[in-house]
Amino acid sequence: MQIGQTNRKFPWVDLVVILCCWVLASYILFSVKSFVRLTAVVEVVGADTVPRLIAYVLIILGLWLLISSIFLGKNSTTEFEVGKDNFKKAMLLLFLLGYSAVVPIIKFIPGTLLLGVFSLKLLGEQSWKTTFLVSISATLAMYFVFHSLLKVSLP
Amino acid sequence: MEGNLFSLIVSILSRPEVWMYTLFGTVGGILVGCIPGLTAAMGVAVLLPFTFHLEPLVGLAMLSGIYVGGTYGGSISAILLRIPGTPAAAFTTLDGYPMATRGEAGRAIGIATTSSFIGGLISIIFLIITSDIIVKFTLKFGPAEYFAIAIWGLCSVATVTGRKLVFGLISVVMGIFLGTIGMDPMTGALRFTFGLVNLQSGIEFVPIMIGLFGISEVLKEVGNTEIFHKIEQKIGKILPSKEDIKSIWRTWIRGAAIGIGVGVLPGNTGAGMSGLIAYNTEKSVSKHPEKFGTGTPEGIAAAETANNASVGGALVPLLTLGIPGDAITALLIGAFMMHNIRPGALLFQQNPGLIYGIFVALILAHFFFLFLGLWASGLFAKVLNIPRHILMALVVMFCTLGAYAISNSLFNIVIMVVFGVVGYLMERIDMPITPMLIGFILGPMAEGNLRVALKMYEGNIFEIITRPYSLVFYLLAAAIIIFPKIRGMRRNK
Repeated sequence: MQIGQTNRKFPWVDLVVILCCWVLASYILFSVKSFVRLTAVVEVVGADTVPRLIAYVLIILGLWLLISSIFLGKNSTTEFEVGKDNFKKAMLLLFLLGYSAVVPIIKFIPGTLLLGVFSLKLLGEQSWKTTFLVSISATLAMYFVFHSLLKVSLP
Repeated sequence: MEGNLFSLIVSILSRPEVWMYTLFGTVGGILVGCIPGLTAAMGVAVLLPFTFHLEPLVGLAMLSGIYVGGTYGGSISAILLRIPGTPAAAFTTLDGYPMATRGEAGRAIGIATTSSFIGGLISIIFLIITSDIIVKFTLKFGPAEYFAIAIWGLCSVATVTGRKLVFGLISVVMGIFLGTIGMDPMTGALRFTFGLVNLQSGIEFVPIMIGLFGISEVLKEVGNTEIFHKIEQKIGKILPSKEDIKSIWRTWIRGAAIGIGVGVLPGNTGAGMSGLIAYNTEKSVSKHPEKFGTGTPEGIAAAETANNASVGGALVPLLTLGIPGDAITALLIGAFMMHNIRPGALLFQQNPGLIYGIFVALILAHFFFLFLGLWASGLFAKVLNIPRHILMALVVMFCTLGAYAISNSLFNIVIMVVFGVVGYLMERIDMPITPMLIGFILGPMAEGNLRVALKMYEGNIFEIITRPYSLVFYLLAAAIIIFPKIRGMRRNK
């Protein structure tokens, strides 16, 4: 599925980027209201000055993109292909998030071993023997490097 | 002073761990560099957490080795597979691969190795000499000048990387925003923490970097059905002959000058750009330009000398001004920050041991890769036979552990995943990720210096902008943004 093409279809991607810029700018401008302000003697530039500046620049950049890409149609439309195997990508990301939640319970070696097996299978390894060999050796090597050599306290 | 310097260098060289970790870094860099898809930036990102628990000098020595080795390593797969291991080696393929298919793979690797060595070494000598001069000059700079330098660095990076200028600028601004997250160091205000305790001390650099450069690459690789290439050719004799050296010594000088010149500019597109310019220059001055692309030694030498010479060039603004010019130097500045060190003129005064340690490590790394390239490139070629999905699975494991190990925080893995997705999406829409990283680094520097400068000049922004040195940097920043636009408009006419 393609959301854009180089032969000037409607620039959906640019529109999404513009919206992201403006949403972020609005969030910044809304949040800075709650920042603590000290007296002018202590603080010439407050905690909100640079964030405000960032918000204004984001609004301007959004406008720039809107005018150049949507109204003037100057730039070639940005392509965005959704790509293949998105389910696998999502699974990998979910597994990584799951790893961060579960590893304190199941501990480092079993957790990392599972991470290795899962990653190898998702990335296309067919043989279970290779999967386990690579995962076990990588887990043990990492345990040795991080725990024994670098003295990192592992979960 | 000279006696002190000599004893300092001897004391650095007498430490076996400096030699050992520089060698590890160089080997790691060559391995990462020679495998297509694993760039030197990714190598630094993945291996950086290993250096956190080391002493700063030793950790930075290892990273110097990765940088140098990674920049060189790309040439091996460029020659043997016609796939550049790194973008920097793209122009090495043009003559390296045809030479390899003639049965002279060893000769091509020999020329690439010696050229990389010469180019890199000249650039490190340049770095040592010029940084001393620049530092003496920049010691006069105050917060107003450093704010101007940060603005110049941000503008130049935003404009040179990426297809659309506005995308580069958005990426930079997003990076600056990320740098503001956490407790404000001056007022103690909590900024954009979304109520999360983990964000109160700000987002750490390493998980962002690992996400942007490591996980996003892995996501690209999921579902990649690219045919697996196996190396079947024999490498043979590697040492370059006297005739080859005679024919390429002028190329070395030209390539080194171009590499340093391109590398030294913040916002350069890295070693790849210097390889392109050097290759085209060599072709234009050659008496036999028609031979370029058919396996000529000058073609390999030009690209390799220039891309390695850009290493020393890129380190000049990094070490003297604290301005990263490209992705790898941005990662290196992150490594400095990890050890609570801010590169710049003051570092030369306060910690010369560290600076000279980096110089020594850079020189050592060049000798290591010369030795490894000339005598062990067959072994590196064997690494290319490891299936890519296995390497990527290892990258996932290294990234995850690396993100955690930096501060023993599982929250960092979440940050890594988030930025992995952000990096992946940005690459898909052709929005450059390097400006975001540089914005994240330079943003707090710009903000801090602006605030101190405004306090010094009692809020008079005009005085800050019009200080002579500051003005030069603002004009440079404006020129960087305006000139490409004018050139583009002229071209369209």
